[in-house]
Formats: sequence, C-alpha cells, structure tokens
Amino acid sequence: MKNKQALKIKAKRQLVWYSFLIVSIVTLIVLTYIPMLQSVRYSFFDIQVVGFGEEKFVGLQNYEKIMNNASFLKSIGNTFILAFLSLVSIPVGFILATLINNIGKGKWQSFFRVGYYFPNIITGVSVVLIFQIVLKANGGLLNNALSFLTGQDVTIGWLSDSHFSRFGATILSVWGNMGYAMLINLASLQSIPGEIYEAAEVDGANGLKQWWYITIPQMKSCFAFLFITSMINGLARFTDLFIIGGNTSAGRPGGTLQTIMMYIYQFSFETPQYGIASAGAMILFVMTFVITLINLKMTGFFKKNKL
Amino acid sequence: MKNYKRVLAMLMGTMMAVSALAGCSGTDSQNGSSASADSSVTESKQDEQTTPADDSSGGAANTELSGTLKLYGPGLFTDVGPDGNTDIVTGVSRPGYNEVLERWKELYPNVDVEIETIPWDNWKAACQTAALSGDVDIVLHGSSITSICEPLTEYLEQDPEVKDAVGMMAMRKNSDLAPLDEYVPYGLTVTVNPVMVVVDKEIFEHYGVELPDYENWTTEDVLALAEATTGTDPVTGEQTYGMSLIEAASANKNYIWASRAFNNVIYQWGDTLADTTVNFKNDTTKEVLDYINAFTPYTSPDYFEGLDTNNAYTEANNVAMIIIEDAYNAYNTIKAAGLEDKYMMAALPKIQGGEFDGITSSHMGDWNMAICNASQQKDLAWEFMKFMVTDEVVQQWLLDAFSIPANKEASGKLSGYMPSDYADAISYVVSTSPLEFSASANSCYDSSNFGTFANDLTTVINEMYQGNMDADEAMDYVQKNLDDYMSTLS
Repeated sequence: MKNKQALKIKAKRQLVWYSFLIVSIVTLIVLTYIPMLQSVRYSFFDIQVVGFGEEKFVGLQNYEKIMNNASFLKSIGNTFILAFLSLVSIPVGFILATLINNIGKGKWQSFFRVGYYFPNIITGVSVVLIFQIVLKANGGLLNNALSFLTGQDVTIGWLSDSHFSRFGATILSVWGNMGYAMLINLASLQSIPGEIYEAAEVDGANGLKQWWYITIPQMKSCFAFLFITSMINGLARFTDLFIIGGNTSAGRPGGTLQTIMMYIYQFSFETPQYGIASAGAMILFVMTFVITLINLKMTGFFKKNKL
Repeated sequence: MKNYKRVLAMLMGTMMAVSALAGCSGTDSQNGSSASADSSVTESKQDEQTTPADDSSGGAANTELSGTLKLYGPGLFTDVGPDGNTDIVTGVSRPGYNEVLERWKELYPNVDVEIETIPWDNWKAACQTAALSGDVDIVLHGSSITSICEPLTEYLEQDPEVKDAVGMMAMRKNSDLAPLDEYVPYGLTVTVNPVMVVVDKEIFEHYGVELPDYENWTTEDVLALAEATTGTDPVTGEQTYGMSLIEAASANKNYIWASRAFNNVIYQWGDTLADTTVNFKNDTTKEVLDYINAFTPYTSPDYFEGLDTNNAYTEANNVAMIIIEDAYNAYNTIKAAGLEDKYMMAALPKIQGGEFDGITSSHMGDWNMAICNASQQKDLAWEFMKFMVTDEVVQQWLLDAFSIPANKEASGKLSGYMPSDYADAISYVVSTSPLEFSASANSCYDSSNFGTFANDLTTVINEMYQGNMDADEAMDYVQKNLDDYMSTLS
C-alpha cells in the first residue's frame, strides 16, 4: 500500500517534468517520425504523387528496380567518389591550421582564422556562380593560370567536361570547406599539451619530427571526426551540383555529378515516382546509418555505454 | 507555483500538438491562406470592391456564383506582381495582376480570388505540396503535373467557344481517357512563348549573306547560314559565330525542334504506355543528333557555360543567329537598346515530311492554368480560366504585360506592339502551330511519360558537344535508359 502511494507521489512529481517534454515529443513524432515511417511505407508502394492516384502495394519491387537501374548505381558511385575527393579539405585544413598555429596567438592568427573560414559562410549559390567563371573552359581564371605556367593553351572544361567535372566540383567543395576543417584542426592543435613538445625538444627532436611523431598522432580523433562528418555531408551533397547542372538533377555534365540525393529529387519532383524515390531514400538512409555507426564506434560511444 | 508550471506545460504541449496537427491537415476552409517566405498572396475581397458591375466594359455581373478561388503557382502573375513592376534592364513597365482581379470582380462580384505566386525554382515540388493540402483550385502552369490536375475534355465540350478562341492548349497523354495517339487537354493556355531565331541583320550584311526566308528555309539552310556567318567579320574584324542554340542546360529543347524538323517519329503507341514501343535508336535520330552537333564549330566556346550571348542585343553582339524561348523579352531588350533595325526574328526551319510537313518546326511553350483535381470548386475554377482566355480586358492586359495571348484574336494585335520584322515571324509561328500538339508530348519527343528522357537527351547532346560521345553512343545511352524505364511499367 505504502509502495503504491510512494509510486503515485513519484509519478505525480515526474509528471511536471514529463509534461515539459511533450512539446519536443510531439514535434519529433509529427515532423520527423511520422514522415519517416511514411517514406518507409511509400517505398513498398507503386505511387506517383503522394495523395493523388492509386497506391498499389508492390513489395520489394521498387528496391529491385532501383538496384538494377544503371543511373542509380552510377549515382551511388558518383556520391562516394565526390565524397572521397572532398576529403582533400582535411589535409589542406590541417596544413593551414599548422601554419596559423605557428604564428602564435595574436591579431594575425585571428585574421587568418577568420579569412580562411570566410568561404564557409558564403551561400552556395554565389560560390557556384563565381566558380563557373573561374573554372570555365574558355579564358577561365584557372585555365589562364595553367596556360601561363605551362606555356600552352589550356582549355579544360572543369565544370563542363565530364572527364574533369568531378575535379572541378571538388575544387569548389574544398575551397568551401577548408575553413571549417582548418578551424577544427586548429582547436585540436591548441589542445595538445605543451609539455609533450617541451619533453621532445629536450630529447633533441626537431620541428619536423615533433610534427610527425607528436602532432599527427595527437590529431587522430580530430581527423576521424572530420572524416566521418565530411563523408556524411558528402552523401547528402545536392545544392551546388544541382546549380552546376543548370538547375536540373541530371548531374550535368554527362551525369557525372548526379548524387543519390539528386537521383531521389529527380524521381520525387521532375518525373514523379514517389515509390522509387522513397526506396532510394531508404537506401541512402541505410548507408548514412552505417557510416554513423562507424563514427560512433570510432568516437568511443559504445565504450562509454559499457562503462 | 507547482500548479502554474503544470498548467503552463500542459498549455504549451496542447498548443504545439494542435498547431502541428492543424498544419498537417487538409482543409476546405475558404478563409484560410498560407504564404511561404518566397511567395506572396494577394486577395480580391468582396468588401474591397466598390465598383459595381459595369456593362459598358463588356459584360454583365454574375451574382449567382460565389466563393473564394485559390490560385497557386509560378509564371506571369509572379513576374508582374499585384501592382506591376519595371524591368531594371529594359526599363519596361508592366501592369500588375490586380487589374485582372478588378475586372473579375466586376463580372463576378461574389467570387473572391486569392493568388499565391511562387518563383520557377522547384515549382513542381511546390505545386504538388500545395495541391496535397487540398487548398488550391487552380494550379498555375499545372498541366505539366497531370497527376494533380483535372482533364478539361468535358469542360471544353460544354464550352466549345473556348477551344475556338485559343491557338494553343496544354495537351498531355493519358491512356485511361483517350488512345495514346490522341491528346487530352489538361491546361488552358493563357500566353504562348514561341521558340524563335533572333537574326542579327548587320552580321549577315557584313558577310554578304542573304537574310533567311523563314517560311521556307530548311535545316540545311540554317546550318549553311551558320557556317557562312562564322569567322572574322569582314567589316568589324571581330570574331563572330553563326549560331547560339538553346542553352546547354536545356539542350534537350534543341532536340525538340530538330527531331520535329526531321520528322523523327519514335513512338509506336500501344493501348497503354507499357504497350508502347520507343524506337529511339534509328537512322533519323542519328541524323538529328549529328545535325545538332554540326553546329558546334559555329558556336562560341562560351556556349556551354551560357556566356556566349553576353553581348546579345547590344551593338557588340557577335552571334548571327540566336535561338530563344522568350521572344517578347528579347524584343523588349532590343527595343530598350534602340537596336530594332539591327535585328529581326525568324521561325525555325520547316518540317520535312509527316503530319506537319511544310510548317515551321518552332514549337511553343506556354503559361497555362489547370484545375486542381482536389478542388471542391472545379466549375468555378473553370469559369475563371475561361475568363482569362476570353475576356477582352484581360487580353489587353496580357498584351500590356508584354505577353503573347493564346487568344487568337488578341495575338493578332501584336503588330501594334512591335515592328513587322518581329511581329510577322511570331504571328507566323502562332498561327501555323497546330492546336492538337504538345512540345512536351508528341510523336517525336515526349518528356512527360518516359522517365528521364529529357535529362538523358540533355546529357548526350552536351557530351557530343564536348566530343565525349558520338551519335551511336548517345543513342545507346538514351535507348538503354528508355528500355529500363519501360521495363518498370507494370
């Protein structure tokens, strides 16, 4: 009897705090979980536009169609190639962070820190528009520089020729993301205890050796974090490639820039087949989930839980 | 204090739940309106209307009909806005759509109209979402999304004068309603945009080349003229290019007119789409693709980036022929630059063979209105659409807004708005274009029913332009995707 009463009192007390959670729970259920579950459901149906026309249950057919579709497989390949190429921003960011860190704390460090981070806050549309001029085949800034350096007329279509477009798109993404990578690297660099360097100096290690044997090993968790977040961002890459393609999801030029997101968009809105699009979204979800699991494992999430 | 916290938490929770559920639910309410950050809503309310029905302006007021019509979508209404605007490049002013709403209120004082305009960016996605809310009666430019729109066949049978009045209808195909070799009207076209060629007469003159006789020129003539006007201008000494095709990002549109000109029929229509055969890979397709690619040497290297026409419609223009989709805007820019004598417009070459033998291969884009199939007031929506294509005041407004009305009588007045060097060619295309034809769904090209066909064409035409593909590889690529798509049709 006493236990029952004690439980009642406890529940009454907790009710106050649970009631505060209602806002978040309702938001989460209505705006996240229900649409998510609906997407899972749609992936098993033959459905053109949500809410219109017949919904016919087709089981795993949408998955079968999509996995046998050359364009979808190509879009998966494109997504991973572009995501891996964009990882270049990590070493670039690390080199920049090392240089900036060596300047020592002061106004110059702040200047470079802000300066390199600046591209990160410019809207994607503006960046693409500028880079379309910089990377154009005929008289583009990069080609002009290469022509000057090589003494030959260089007319590479960095964003217009399917042989080079992935490199062009990578130049664009590295330029945009290296500031972020630099900032994270810099924060991590500055958290390495100075005593380790002092001890190494006493042992006679020069600057390069300190960098190689102390700095880089100490930065492992930072690199892992940047690697995973860059990969996840790469899997969801859409806006800049959509604009480069002339506001179509075809992944111009030659379909080389069509990512999974663009493929899903194509079947959601350009040639609506929500069933197919939802199946694509589910496959993307599984891929992102696996990478997130790796991320959690690498950052020790599961270890903490065991403790 | 404890109670206060509880009540506050419960209130917040309830409010959140109610607002979330209300936002998700469809409603037939005629008073609600929604607006996104990128859109604007304008209403014409009965109590704001002070002018009584005016018979002298061409119609008696209909007080029997009542309700609130909701229009949603991109196009002309977005461009001009409720109060009109002035183009910053050309300095041209256009009247706003409030003039249309005022006229509507004169004729239908008990029917309010709410217009929610959106930009062209992601318009299909936006229209689908809006239609899903069940709060839209007319989808502006909706005929391209047939799944959310009502076929207009019955409405046109009821009011045959509407079909007679217009020179174009937004047609699509639907095997549930008509054999696939026939069209089903899904939208009422309000304005048309014929694909035209802007010809720089000066460049032609400098090269000593005769101006095209656009009612009779052939595909070969166009190519020959492009070749003849490419090189170093004999008078100015500047590099000129013979041709600027429709922009590379929409290269499939070059295929639309070229395949039509070559009469490259690729569909053998069956009873349903699944029974239809698509013979894209054939000798004529190869001819068409090679023909489009043959313009490459006469095209600026800046074409691919869309920078080849940077000097178009200026004194410094260096492209002899430019294929355009926005004829009226191009004319306004030319006029604003005071260069009306330097340029002229021409229709695309004539079709060689088939059903449309001898007429121009210039197709027409349009701005149409379609009845949303989730609407509860379809008849009222039809009344408004009829009004948009037949009312004299509206037709005048369309002309004043520098649009080409689909109404045949009104489009005939174009010569009062621009010199004959421009108006004649546009009128030629508008008057010869068949009513039973759709640039998006015809026997040579159908982007509405065959998956990623349009995107695939753009891809291969661009790849051919870059020298990364030949016509055979291009045909294989497109045919494979078509076959893949056809295999998904159950």
